[in-house]
Amino acid sequence: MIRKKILLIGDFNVGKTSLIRRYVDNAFDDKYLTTIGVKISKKKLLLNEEECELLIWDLEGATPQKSIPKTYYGGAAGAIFVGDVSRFETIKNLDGHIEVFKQINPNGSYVIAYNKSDLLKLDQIKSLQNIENVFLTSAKKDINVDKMFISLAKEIFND
Amino acid sequence: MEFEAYDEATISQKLLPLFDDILLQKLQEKESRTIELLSRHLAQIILQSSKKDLPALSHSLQSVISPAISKEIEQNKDKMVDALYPIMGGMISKYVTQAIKEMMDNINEKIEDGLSFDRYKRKLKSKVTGVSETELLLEESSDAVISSLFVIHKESGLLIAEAHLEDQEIDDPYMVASMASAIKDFVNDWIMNHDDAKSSEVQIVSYGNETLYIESAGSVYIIAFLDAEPDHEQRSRINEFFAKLVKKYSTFFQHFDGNDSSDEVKEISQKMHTFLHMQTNRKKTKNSKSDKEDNGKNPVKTIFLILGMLFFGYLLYLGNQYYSTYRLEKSILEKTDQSVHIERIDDKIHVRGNISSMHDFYAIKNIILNATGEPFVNELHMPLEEVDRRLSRQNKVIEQFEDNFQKQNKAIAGFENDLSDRASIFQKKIDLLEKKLNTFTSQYDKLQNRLDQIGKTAGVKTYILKKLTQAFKNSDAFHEADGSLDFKNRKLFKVGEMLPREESLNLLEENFSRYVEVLMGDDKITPFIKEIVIEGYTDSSGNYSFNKKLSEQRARKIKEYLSGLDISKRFHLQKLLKAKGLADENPIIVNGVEDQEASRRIKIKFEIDPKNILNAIKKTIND
Repeated sequence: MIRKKILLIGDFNVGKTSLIRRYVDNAFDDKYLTTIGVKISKKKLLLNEEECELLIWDLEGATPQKSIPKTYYGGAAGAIFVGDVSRFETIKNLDGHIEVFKQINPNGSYVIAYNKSDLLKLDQIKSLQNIENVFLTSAKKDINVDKMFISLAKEIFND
Repeated sequence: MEFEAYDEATISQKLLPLFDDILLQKLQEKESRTIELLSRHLAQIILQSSKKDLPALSHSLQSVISPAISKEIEQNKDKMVDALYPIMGGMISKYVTQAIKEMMDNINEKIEDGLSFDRYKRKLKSKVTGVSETELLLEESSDAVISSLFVIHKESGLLIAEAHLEDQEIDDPYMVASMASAIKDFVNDWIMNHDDAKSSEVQIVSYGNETLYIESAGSVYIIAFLDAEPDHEQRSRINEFFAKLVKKYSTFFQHFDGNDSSDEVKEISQKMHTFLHMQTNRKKTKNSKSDKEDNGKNPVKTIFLILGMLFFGYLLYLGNQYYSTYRLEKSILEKTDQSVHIERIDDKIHVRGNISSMHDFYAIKNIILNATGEPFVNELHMPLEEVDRRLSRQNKVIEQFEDNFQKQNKAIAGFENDLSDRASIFQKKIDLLEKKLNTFTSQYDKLQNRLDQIGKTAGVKTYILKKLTQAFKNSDAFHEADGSLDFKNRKLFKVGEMLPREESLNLLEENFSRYVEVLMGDDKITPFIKEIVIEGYTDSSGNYSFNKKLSEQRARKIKEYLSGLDISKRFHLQKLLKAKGLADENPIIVNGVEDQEASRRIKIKFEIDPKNILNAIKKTIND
């Protein structure tokens, strides 16, 4: 079986952990997230009739009091960048997160999750749809979560 | 202020948009009544929030509480330690006390082993290695069991290979590997940011009853899961095994893509299994050995066993002694026909008995020496007649020796007198020779001085060349071979011209002056200089007679110019300077082609007067 490491990155309270809960098979306790700044989960997939596994590193958002070791980013085949559609600054900060990730993993694939999309109005949803690599997700309403993970997995494992 | 209605509900509704700002202002001004009012309801608000959304409340409070605790610890460290000690101190001391108690029980048990072989072995090892017995006991008591081994890709934290002891499998090893990798990264990052010494990477992580030993190399690291911290020897074994893996599979590790179905992964897992099983085998062997030793733990049994072995050894020793003396006695009887008694007392051979002659004594001595390689204590008896006979024979030999000695003494005395006479004659001859030698030496010194003088005079040309070479050290105009100044590289004359170019005159003057200073300014040179010759040259174009004439004109013009210089007047050179035309006799050829510009030139040379040199030599000899 082939296994790959992927990262889940975004500011505080954008719903990363909720996305994970929706999707994964097994996960370490949440206490690790606050202790060492990362929580590891896994998800087994069947792509082209072959089993593969994602080891998902859910990185805690960095704060002035606490920095995330850059080594956490290393060796990742892909990443999901999560922003909260109801807080514009979390969307704006995604560029910075992507830059750091690409510096360390120049060949890494990534997708963007605009989470809490259930809060958007219909015309807003229409304007954000059909952008490459961008998914309007909602952990609460289980919208696009599976689709987003599978899309990233396909890109990683087909490479 | 006017209100549309005076009922309380309407007023509240109107004021509600302003409420937040008013409240904030009141709080900022620390208005005591507002704070008192709010503090009454704060506990209720927190309780309700926690029921509604506990994670959100925890998260909100965390960002406030964590910095507040940090600040409090920083500012009031002692107070915080006092406050936390009853909880933390008790917890720490409980675990430490328990661990020490277990270790001490183990050590006490081993000490109580009393007279076991194990103890003697430990004592001996302590004496040989210089390590204290207690340290050896500690070492024995700290054997840790490796239950699992992981090889993890350093960058991604992906598990490459794993191995476990039976029934010790780890659930979800791939997640554990990633988590271990994250913890390692986190701790290393913390060390890098907080440890002033920037010490090496974390190697030991302990939690509960588990200890993780982490060793890193190249693009991977190995994690050994143990039930206690490994000692130095165990770490070395793990490191050695790991080093072999890294050496063999370094390329595979480097390019690991997360695929665990490759042959390399299977091979590595197999090797790790073998390593774990070797460890258990080693432990079993150690245990069985220790079990065997335990059987001899009974002190009385042990003492009897040792005494029995010592007694048996002593009997063997005695038997061997008896047999060897018996063989010697037999051998002596066969070879000398003398019956003697041999006995070993205080590790020395004693030989007793009667023998008939000294010949037998020497024969016995040789037999014993050959057989044992050691001397013996002689307790043998010989008949008195035999002794007397030997003594009288010895006396005769001594008398003869004394006669010879006196004769030799007389001869030596005569020889001494003769030698003394001869020595005085030789001394006189030596004194005479010394006087003659002194006379010869002074004559030799005088001759040597004259020869030096002649040599110096005869070597005047060499001397001049040496001085000129020093004076023209950095100039390419001077030719050491013939001592001439050659202006071939100075572009002195245009084609067909007899006068030199105006711009070359300074250079000509400067070189000529330096040349003359050497020749005319040194008493050892000047008396021998006959003349200074200026040679004129043309290039090889044109006919000979024309060139001959042109070269003479060039030499003459240069001579006129040089004669007019101050230096020529100072040294009265008018008579010494000569001009000579040599046409195209000496063209300058570069790579087989004539450099005509260089060929059109003059040379300045000196001539020595041989008559003057001969006169000087004659004068030196006559003096």
